[in-house]
Amino acid sequence: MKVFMTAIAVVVAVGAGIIVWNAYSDRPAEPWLPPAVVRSDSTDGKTLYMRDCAWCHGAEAQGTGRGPNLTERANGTAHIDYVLSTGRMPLDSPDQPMQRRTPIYTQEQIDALVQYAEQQLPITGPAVPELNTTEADLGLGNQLYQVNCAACHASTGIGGALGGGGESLPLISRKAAILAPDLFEATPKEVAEAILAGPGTMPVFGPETFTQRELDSIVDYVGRLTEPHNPGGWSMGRTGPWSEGAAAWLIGLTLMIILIMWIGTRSTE
Amino acid sequence: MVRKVVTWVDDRLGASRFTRDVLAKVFPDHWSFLLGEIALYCFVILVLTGVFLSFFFEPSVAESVYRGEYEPLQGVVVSDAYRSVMDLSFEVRAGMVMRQIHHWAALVFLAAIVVHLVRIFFTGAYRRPREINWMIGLTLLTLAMFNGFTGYSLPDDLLSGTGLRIAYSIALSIPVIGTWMAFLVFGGEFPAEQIINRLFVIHIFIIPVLIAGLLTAHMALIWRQKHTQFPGGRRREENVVGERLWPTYAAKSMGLFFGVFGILALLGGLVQINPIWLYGPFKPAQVPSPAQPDWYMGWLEGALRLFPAWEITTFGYEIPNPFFPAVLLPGITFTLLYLWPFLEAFFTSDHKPHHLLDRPRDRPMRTALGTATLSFYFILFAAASNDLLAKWLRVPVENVVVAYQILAFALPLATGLGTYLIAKSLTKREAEPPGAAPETARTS
Ligand code: HEC
Ligand code: HEC
Repeated sequence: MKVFMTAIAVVVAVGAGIIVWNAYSDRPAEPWLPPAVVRSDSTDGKTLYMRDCAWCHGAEAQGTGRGPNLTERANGTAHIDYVLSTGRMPLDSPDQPMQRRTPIYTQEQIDALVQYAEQQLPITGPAVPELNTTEADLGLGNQLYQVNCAACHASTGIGGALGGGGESLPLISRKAAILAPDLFEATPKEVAEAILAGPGTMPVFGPETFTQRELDSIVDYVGRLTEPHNPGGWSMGRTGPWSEGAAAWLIGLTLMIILIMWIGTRSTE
Repeated sequence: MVRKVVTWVDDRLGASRFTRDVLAKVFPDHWSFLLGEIALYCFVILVLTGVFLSFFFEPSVAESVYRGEYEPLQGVVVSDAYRSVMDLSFEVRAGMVMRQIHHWAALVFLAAIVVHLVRIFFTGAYRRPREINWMIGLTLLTLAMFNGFTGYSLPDDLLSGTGLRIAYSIALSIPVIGTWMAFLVFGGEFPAEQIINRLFVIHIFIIPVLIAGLLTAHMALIWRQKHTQFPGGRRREENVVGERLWPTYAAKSMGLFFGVFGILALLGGLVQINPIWLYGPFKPAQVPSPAQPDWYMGWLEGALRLFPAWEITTFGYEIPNPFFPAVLLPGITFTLLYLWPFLEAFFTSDHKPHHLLDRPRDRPMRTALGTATLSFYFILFAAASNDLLAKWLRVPVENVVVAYQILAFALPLATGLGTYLIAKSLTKREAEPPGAAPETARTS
């Protein structure tokens, strides 16, 4: 009996751990600390670019061995603003994975860099978008989101792992994981920029794909989707049937088993 | 006066003797004998909440424009089935909590059946004369799974629609009769018009009636054959030691019912389940990610994800890939489960009736087989969420699949062997009186 109770306790503890982990794992594990170099002094775009970006992307944004050409994909200053305000750039070393982090620049510095890129670098493509959500239609945004975004970011907005396409199974793939991030932290402007610029493996949805109103509607819907409000109660990180199954076992059935252990104690005869 | 009426009735029906016998019926008590009762009460709650839901559900895929409470769906074209579940969730008083209790009860119902089955297995309670009840129990498990799946599909949302699409392709994959079967069940090419209507009739009428009938038979057999009990104390093969039905057992059982109801109501009121407003209405062209079924179907989904993309040809006919993980595997699983009491009797040459239960450690081989099998299905179940794991670990999905494929073979071997050794060492330790010097020490 003792062994059994211990086993149940372990299972419950592990399960609870998984649920908690699952609910919080989407949040960044630790705030990213800027490296020792003092960066946050200047507010001059050129100074910042030459000091923090040029050694990887080149003085003319033509690219180097450490970072890609920024003019080739023509995804504009929308992309520059996106990588800066989501803290993805600058990297500390070329092999660091590109992920959302706390930005190291102030808003003023970001604006200065974007302005520099717009005026001095041969970058073409979408500019930083203006949003006008008063025209937005939530229902339209919902449908466009389901059709265009949900396959990668999940209809619940939690993101997902994207398979490497139809290739047959390699024993252990050395490729980096292709992940679509969750959308819970993106600001409306970042959502619009991601749509227009198509960062990483995300497709570009240019002005030919969405009208301004459609763009505004998607941004509005993503904002609504990622509100922490869940009408049914605790959402368990929105991981769907998986966490529901875990809760059925670890909360529902476990409580019931404790109940029957209490009312059904074995007779000692 | 009252007494007169009672005697009058009794004279004619002989009810009092019957009642006296019933109320004096003795039930052995051990907490694990109440697992089946949890399942029973979940079923009762499923019926109660299900009746409420069926008042509001509209089993039709006719489409209209949504104009309900949920703002982000305004102006979207949805089916009547989906709209009625949305209305149920957002507009009908207590609709959301009823829906959520119903769904939680279904998940816990199946979990309770499985744990009950595991208890029966490890204690050998299925041995002669209880083989028939073992098979009835398995049939109940299968029916419960089917009913869970049909219910999950009713709201006609994107997630469950994807599940139906998978079910359709599984049906198609059966050699020779596949196409015919799929058309028969779905009423045409997927997504067929009639499917929601058919699922509704199956879900609220056909399967529940079958379950209720078999449950009655299941309990009648327990009554007739008497409950098994653990050895020890005054308990023998030929007696039953425990509490009388009235008042002790009945009181405990009522308490359990309210406990089960309370726990399910708490889950239904506090924890969100199946948020169909996020998944959106089913549209044939879309697939959500991550798409998983409810947990009791997870092992099948996991098997589909782990099975390699082999093309297997027999008699010049290529057998569609899903056939192996999704038809053959469950087929073998359930055949072996149904035959298990007979297989065991055959291999152990033990054909005697048994009313006393085994302790798992005293049957190391059976126990080891049991834990190995359970760990295999656990891996399949876990593999159904490989995309979530890949996301949390930030590794490619392909690597997670390979890891699970290896584990699906390695883990059962390890748990089976480990269980066997632990069971052996436990019985060995009991054989030696505490404090006695070990054999080797004495010879020196
Ligand atoms: C340590 C080298 C390094 C530094 C410093 C750096 N980057 Fe990058 N940058 C990269 C690499 C490598 C990539 C490609 C990452 C990937 O695709 O995973 C990249 C990608 C980008 C992209 C996306 C390019 C595309 O077409 O996908 C933009 C925009 C960008 N960097 C802007 C900047 C800006 C602006 C700065 C200065 C604030 C900066 N980077 C500093 C290495 C660097
Ligand atoms: C093919 C898969 C795919 C599709 C489709 C897709 N995305 Fe993305 N999305 C990604 C990936 C991958 C990233 C990460 C890019 C990076 O590394 O910067 C991303 C990043 C984002 C981000 C930034 C998230 C953050 O917090 O940093 C937003 C916002 C976003 N996507 C919105 C959308 C919207 C809105 C749509 C639909 C119009 C969409 N995505 C469609 C794959 C996709």
